[in-house]
Amino acid sequence: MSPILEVKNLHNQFGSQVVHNGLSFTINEPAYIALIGGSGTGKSVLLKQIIGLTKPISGEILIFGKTPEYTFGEKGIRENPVGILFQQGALFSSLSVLENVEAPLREHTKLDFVERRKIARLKLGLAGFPLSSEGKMPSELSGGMLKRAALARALALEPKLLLCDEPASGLDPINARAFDRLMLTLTQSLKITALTVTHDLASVLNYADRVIAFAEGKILADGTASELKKVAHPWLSEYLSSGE
Amino acid sequence: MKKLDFNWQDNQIDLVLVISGDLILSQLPIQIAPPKTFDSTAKKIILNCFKLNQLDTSGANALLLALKALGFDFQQIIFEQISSDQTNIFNLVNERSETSPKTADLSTSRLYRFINFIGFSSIELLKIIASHLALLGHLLSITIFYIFNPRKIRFREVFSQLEQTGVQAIPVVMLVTFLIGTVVAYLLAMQAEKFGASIFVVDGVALAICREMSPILVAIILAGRSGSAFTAQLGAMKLTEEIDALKSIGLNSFDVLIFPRIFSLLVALPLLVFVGDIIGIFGGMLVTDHYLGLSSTSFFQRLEQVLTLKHILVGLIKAPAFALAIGLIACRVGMEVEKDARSVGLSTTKTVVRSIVIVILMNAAFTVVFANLGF
Repeated sequence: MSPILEVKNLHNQFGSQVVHNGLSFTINEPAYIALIGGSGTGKSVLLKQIIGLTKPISGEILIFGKTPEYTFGEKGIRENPVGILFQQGALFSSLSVLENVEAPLREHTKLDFVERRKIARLKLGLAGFPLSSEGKMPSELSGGMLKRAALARALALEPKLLLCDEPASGLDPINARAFDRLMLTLTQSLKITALTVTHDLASVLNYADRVIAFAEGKILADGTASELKKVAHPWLSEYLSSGE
Repeated sequence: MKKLDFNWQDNQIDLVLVISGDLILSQLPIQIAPPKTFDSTAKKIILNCFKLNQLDTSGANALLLALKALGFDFQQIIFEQISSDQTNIFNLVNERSETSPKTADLSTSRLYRFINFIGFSSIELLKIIASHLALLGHLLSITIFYIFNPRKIRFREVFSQLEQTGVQAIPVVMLVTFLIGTVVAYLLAMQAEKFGASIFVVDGVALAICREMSPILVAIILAGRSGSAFTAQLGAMKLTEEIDALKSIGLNSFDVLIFPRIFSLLVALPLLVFVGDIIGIFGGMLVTDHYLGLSSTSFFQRLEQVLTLKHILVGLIKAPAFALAIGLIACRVGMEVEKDARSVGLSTTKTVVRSIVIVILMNAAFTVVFANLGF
């Protein structure tokens, strides 16, 4: 079995600014993984390149042993779908919540309307979205509801890998923790890998199974939160103690 | 992918269902035929998962729903030879899948829905008219206030809007009215030539351009150019909460945003109509010169006799009324933009369509009224 995600020797540079300088890491086991790093350390760039929106200058990204182009192509999506949770939810504003969750199923399965609705409602339930609001339009949703609806859509095609861009942004601490617990349930029960770019210290310290910290274009530390605390680096120690 | 199969096993005592293969999304929909000796009073069912290979939430959900349709709740299912991962999935799915929600019953008659639709649309129309009248009232009251306190007018906003709606629109207004002037002149010249009435082409061109063509063309250009821009600007500002921010620093969005826009449109539109008059007639003159051989001297002599001030005023009186209608619609629609990106585009379209329709309706009304008044 090829690893879930493999980032090999990634180099990225905008003008004279080096963003990634030989970045490598591998994810073999399903887990709730947090990706941390100061502003401008290329977290979003990495996420974009995993999705295949931009290409690295050199290096390689493999998702289940396949390139991003393949994974997000017609065939790849059916073989090994990857769910993506965008920062602002990115729900289709002309579709209701239920139709949003249904949209990937309509494109990539041959299921009829009734079956699709059943699955869409299950996903909304998994994401903790109240079904009484399933007919609402995205513009009518609060921040927390929006994230849940977006998560339900990301889960629609039964992905084994879920990429999340700052899921806690715009959520109050109670909702942010509820989201963390939800992710833990999903990763543990469904064996999904959730790779999460985050700034939320509480979820890094208390919920993530594994934390990958970026600095100076490289991996600074990789391990559990308690292992990270032992690493001596000015930015990392300041980051980890900023909640005290 | 392994083929999915369901088999009922006969072991006399219990009802046993053996699943084999992959129970995943791509295998859906599933169908489970009831067992041959189906005992609907059975209290439990044994689900043998020994040969179950892959399982995902969609698959688990479909199986649970199918068993429910046969009359077995989750509590009545006994899982056998199942891995802990698969147990987790079944448990999570059962926990999180609510029974389908109450959807509104729409079994009302067609007639009822039709009347309902007419009622709702009428109320909606009345609301639109009311909100425009409210904005007009607001505009009048602020104008009276400004007449007594002219220093409070935000001249910077007004002039910046005047530049955008007035000055920058001159080239396109010139181009359009020039071309329409030539087209009208050609049309008339071809007819007039047959009767040897070439000189009357001047009458036709001058009156058509000044009374009807120039006002309506300029109004349509500004509805498309400035009206849509107003709606898009105000809508985008509403989306990014800029209008709320204005309120928070004690500024009135009406004074800062709406008044300068409508006011500049009120000033710019008549001026542009006048520009259009001149260029349109100029276009006509070129055609009569070229096509009928009518010299510009005789053109101007005839023009002086025909084109009295009255005709120019008819066009210029209409212009501010069009401007007011376009401005009110554009600002009203812009302020009503909802909180999503699609809404801005829809609202902009709404502004353009509504303003053009209203301008043409108003023009028809003006024409009838002026004709009856003998102008």
